[in-house]
Amino acid sequence: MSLQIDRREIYRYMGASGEPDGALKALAEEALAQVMAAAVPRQVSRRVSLSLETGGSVRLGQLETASKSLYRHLEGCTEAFLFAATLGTGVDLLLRRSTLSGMGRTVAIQAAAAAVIEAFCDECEKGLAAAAEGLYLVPRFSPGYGDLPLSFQKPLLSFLESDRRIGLSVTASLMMVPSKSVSAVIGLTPDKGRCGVHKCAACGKRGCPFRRA
Amino acid sequence: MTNLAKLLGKRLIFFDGAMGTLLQKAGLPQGELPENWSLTHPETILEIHKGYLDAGCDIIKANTFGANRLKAGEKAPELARAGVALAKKAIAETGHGYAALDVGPTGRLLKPMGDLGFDDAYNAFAEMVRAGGEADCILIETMGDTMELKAAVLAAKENSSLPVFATMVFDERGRLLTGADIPAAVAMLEGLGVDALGLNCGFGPAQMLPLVDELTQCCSIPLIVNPNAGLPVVVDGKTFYNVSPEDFAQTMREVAKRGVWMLGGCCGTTPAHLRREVELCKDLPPLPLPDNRRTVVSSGTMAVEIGPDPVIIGERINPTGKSRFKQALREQDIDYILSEGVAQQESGAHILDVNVGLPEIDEAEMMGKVVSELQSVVTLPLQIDTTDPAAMETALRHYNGKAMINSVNGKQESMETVFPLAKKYGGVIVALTIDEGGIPETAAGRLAVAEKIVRTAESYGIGRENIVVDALTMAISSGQQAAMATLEALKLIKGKLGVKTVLGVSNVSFGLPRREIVNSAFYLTALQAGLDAAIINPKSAAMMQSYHAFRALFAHDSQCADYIAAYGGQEAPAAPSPQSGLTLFEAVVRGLKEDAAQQAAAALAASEPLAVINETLIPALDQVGKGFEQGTVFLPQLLMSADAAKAAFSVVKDTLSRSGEAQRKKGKVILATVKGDIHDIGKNIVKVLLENYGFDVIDLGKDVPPETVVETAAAQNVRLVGLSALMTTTVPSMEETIRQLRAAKPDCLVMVGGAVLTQEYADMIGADFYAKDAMGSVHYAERVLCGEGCNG
Repeated sequence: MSLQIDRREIYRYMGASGEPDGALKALAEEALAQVMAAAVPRQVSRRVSLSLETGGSVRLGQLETASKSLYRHLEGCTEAFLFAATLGTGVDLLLRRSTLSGMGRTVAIQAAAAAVIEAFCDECEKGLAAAAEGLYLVPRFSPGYGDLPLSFQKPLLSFLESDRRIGLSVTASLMMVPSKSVSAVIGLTPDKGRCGVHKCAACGKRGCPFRRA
Repeated sequence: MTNLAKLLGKRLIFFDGAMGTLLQKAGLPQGELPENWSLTHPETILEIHKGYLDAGCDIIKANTFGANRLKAGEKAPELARAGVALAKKAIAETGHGYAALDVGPTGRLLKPMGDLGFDDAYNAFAEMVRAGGEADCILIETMGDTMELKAAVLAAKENSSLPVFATMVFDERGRLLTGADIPAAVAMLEGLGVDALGLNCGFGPAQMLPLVDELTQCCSIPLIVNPNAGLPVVVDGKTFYNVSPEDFAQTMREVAKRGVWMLGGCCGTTPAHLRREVELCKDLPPLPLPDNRRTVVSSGTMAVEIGPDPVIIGERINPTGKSRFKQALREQDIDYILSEGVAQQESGAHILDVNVGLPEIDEAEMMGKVVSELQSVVTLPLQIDTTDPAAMETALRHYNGKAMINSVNGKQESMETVFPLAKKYGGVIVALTIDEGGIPETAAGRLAVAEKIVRTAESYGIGRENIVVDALTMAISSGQQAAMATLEALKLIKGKLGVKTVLGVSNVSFGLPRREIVNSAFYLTALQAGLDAAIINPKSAAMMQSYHAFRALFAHDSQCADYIAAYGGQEAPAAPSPQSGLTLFEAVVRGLKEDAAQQAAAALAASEPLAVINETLIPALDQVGKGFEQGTVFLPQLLMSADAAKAAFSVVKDTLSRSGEAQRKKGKVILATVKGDIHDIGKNIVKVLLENYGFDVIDLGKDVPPETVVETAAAQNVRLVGLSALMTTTVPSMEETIRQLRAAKPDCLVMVGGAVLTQEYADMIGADFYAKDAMGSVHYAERVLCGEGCNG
């Protein structure tokens, strides 16, 4: 896998603002190398029809939700991809193992893994964009964003058969396992102007510590 | 045994093809449970079955794939019964064929990776197996996790007497989704005694050919291959499989020629695919089964073969003679035990011995816990080392893979206890050459005991490839001939019985000074005598030198690559050496673990232990903590400092415990990640900081039920509990934990933290304090548990 990982993303997830010192940079590099060695990235996606009903509900193929934020987010879209990706169980094992030898490294690995899964999703989106045939991808929107409930995780992942296709399942309390995973709805629009928007700009959670301007 | 079992090997046997694909064509909406159609559209299911039977298939898979409680809820048993009844009906109406109860995965990931308990998975499968008992065989399929597969196989075998088949989904690298390679999965399934195993789903027959070859290299039981009709292609949101019946059947003929006895299809295959497959393949004779019986153990990831390349079994997870380890067991300090496991894997061990026997603890419970937790941090197979049959069974049952079993001996009672467990769960058994008459002095005497054990094992159906004989190392300090007698017995037993051998090497030097000198020399001699596995300390440089030198000298190490990897370039400094000239204070502030430990030792030479803590370590932590709160120090740096301080503290504590003093603790704090929540990084961050500041932390781990928190708080009279939750979905269990604590122990305070929490949220659920970061929890603990002047 050749992924371009933006180091500033790792520093940001590590909670470092401004320019980190050499020791911190070295820590991030080491963590990134470990994550890359442990990760087995997998993805699954399906293209579905989209309709925004007059009553306010969003229909994605056979799935339906009344989320207002998702409704707004998908306005102008004509279709959508349902998407899920994971780095696999190896990264979780790495995290647990690292916890035994120290939390400093663990936080760095956690940060690197977060950056890698995001980069992997970005890479996957390039493939989806190529298959979109004249339509453009709007930023991915995940359960838990805005008022799209986490419980949407279940029908979404079940529709994608993510458990047997990529080994991604969801616990009774709606957490994804492996932990470094992403699930999302990615709208398709004929409006080219919407595709360059970063996912943070599309999210309503203004106070988020990880929000990018 | 049904007729089906008798048919195996007489001619090729054909499974049917896809059910789901045909149901979708018939109008099953995506998202609806296909098993429901056994009740709502029985005629459609019946027609599909008949289509496959007419095509010439022998075994039809009942429409029961997801008919387990975890997927289908309360009506699961009804669906399983109805599905099997329809398959039987189709067979009755067609006049031939067998019905398989089709068992698919639960869709949940098992502990320790996920949240589904092994016993919960087992119960879901067991209920299904009992409900589908009218079937002719059980096909467990589309499995991607060896732990779940084991639960399903045990459920099938313990709740029916039908033949059990198991097929798995491997990726193109030959790995399951949870990481097991083919030899690992095969070792486990053969150990569990399934009747046939193989591949299904994932991809088409062409992509399966290399995996079939890999299977025939390691498997000795009949093989099954049920591929998709090629790789899925998605068009307009719908999945298609493009391999034509003719191409599919041609490749399946190639699959059969490579020794596969049972062939069928999975997603995308139709009666047309199967009809052509049967036509093209039915005249091929089944090839004789290959004999791949070797001495193999496995974990959830990998298989390890014992011999001819020597194997190291790490001996460090064992309380014998280790007071620190005993303390860890008494205090349920699992992390300490896990660290020993990780360190041994990193030092080069291939298998880890696990012994947690201590008179004052519940060994079965501890063994189950340690085995499960160890398997979440190390990938090596484990050797279950216990004399307690209950601990042995718990460990073998919940073990992910095929374990090594330590041990059986020639006493009737021992064999009657161990062999049934080994037969049921699989395993490679260490056989000690001792019986009712004691340890025979002579090699011939030990051979006689070994022979008795091997023959008795065979009477239980356990082949000698699953026995590893230990000719017993005795101390040379108590008998000059001891070592020679052991080696003579080893050679004799290996030569006469053709079994693999193992020795606990370190016993030889008991009572002598500088034991490593004798141990490493004896190890080398034993390897030369043909020793296959040694139970040693892989962290001992001398032992590892013997190991690497032997492999290089005796052609086990191609081009001396491993030797060079281990010792090449050592003239230059290998690991980053501690930086000179740093004080303990600086080492902690800069987060340098090795330096901190070294400087702590130096500081102890000049100062009292408590002075080192109060005058250096705590002020250094305070400085970093203040920097963190002011935003000049980032979280990883704070934690690197905490880790460094922890290393220094452990040096100081050793000195304190040697002098009989104890560090005064500031008070007990319970930490727990609440029920339903499996993300515990935040909790662990708080833990390391609280420990450094002198609190006695009781870490209850993650996914902790409210009752456990309450019971622990009451039993140990704890006045402060810290709870963490990552997501909104688990905050209700935090609230419930607080509610139960208030009722049972009103004087106990609760602090909460975690990604989704805010002050308002904390107030709403009735917490006493919201810790916005790790330092916040330290300050709060100091305030409520020590009042003013706590640091003094």
